[in-house]
Amino acid sequence: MKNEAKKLRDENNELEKKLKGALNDILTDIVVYIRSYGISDLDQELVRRDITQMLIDGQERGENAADVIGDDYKAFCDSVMAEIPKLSTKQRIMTSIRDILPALMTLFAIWAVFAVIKQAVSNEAWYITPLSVSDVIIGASLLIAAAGIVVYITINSFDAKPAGLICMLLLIIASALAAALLLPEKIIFSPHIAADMALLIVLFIAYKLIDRKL
Amino acid sequence: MIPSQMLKGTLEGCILAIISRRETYGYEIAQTLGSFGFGKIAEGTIYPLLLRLERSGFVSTDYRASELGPKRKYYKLTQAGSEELELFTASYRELEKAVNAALRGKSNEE
Repeated sequence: MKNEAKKLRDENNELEKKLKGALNDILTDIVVYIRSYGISDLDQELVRRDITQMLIDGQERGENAADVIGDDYKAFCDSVMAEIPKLSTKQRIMTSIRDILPALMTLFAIWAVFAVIKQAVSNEAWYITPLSVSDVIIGASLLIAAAGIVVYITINSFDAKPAGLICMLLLIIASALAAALLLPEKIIFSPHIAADMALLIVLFIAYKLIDRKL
Repeated sequence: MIPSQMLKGTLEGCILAIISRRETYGYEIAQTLGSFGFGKIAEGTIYPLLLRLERSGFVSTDYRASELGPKRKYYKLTQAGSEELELFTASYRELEKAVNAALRGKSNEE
């Protein structure tokens, strides 16, 4: 995220605090929905600032959200988004990679810690971290599921019924448990913990570099 | 109440006309349109149009605190906006003439 977008995001976070009750909830839904569109971070924050300011003005006049932006919040967002240039395919891919890298790093760190504990408990060399087929499959499934949940939440931010989300979460938990029990414990390779740390640093640098470009 | 289909295409020009008179902000534009007989227009209805005008370079914007306090996004007509307004005015006059003739049942040739 470029500095301008970051600065604006921080300003918007502050500005948002001025909104109370239902207006704040509606703004949250709008901002979440806007995130589902393939537009730049800066454009997201520029639009967010305008809408927040509009709602604050409305609040000061004693109006509700429908008075300010109309009854159909989703239609309002769609009409606004229609005016904003979409990201190119390359930018979209870079954004997706940027967004998934923190989750990947977290999962990788958790796996490394558990691998060390498992080795230590089994009286094996603790600094060797065996990576099994099931680790890879479960990790990839969790990442895909996490990305799916984010997309589901952003697209359906105006939907009051979270039934689909709850079903999806239950399915993911059940699948992860089943995978952990049923998948083969075949070891693919056993890197040194120092190699894991080095990979984490590389992933972090990659994240920072991509984030700076977007 | 003017049907939204009829408003489409003319609202943008009317907004340009309002901004051409003086630097103004979204809510004030919506109120001015209302006072001209466009009915109650929510600020959110004109916001996408203002975004389009801004992105097309017809208006420039400036975020600043108003005299009464809150920060507002002020819109100002650019040279390109001024030219666009002239084009709109000419097109609208032509349309007005044609619609009036159609309603009266007279062709231009008569």
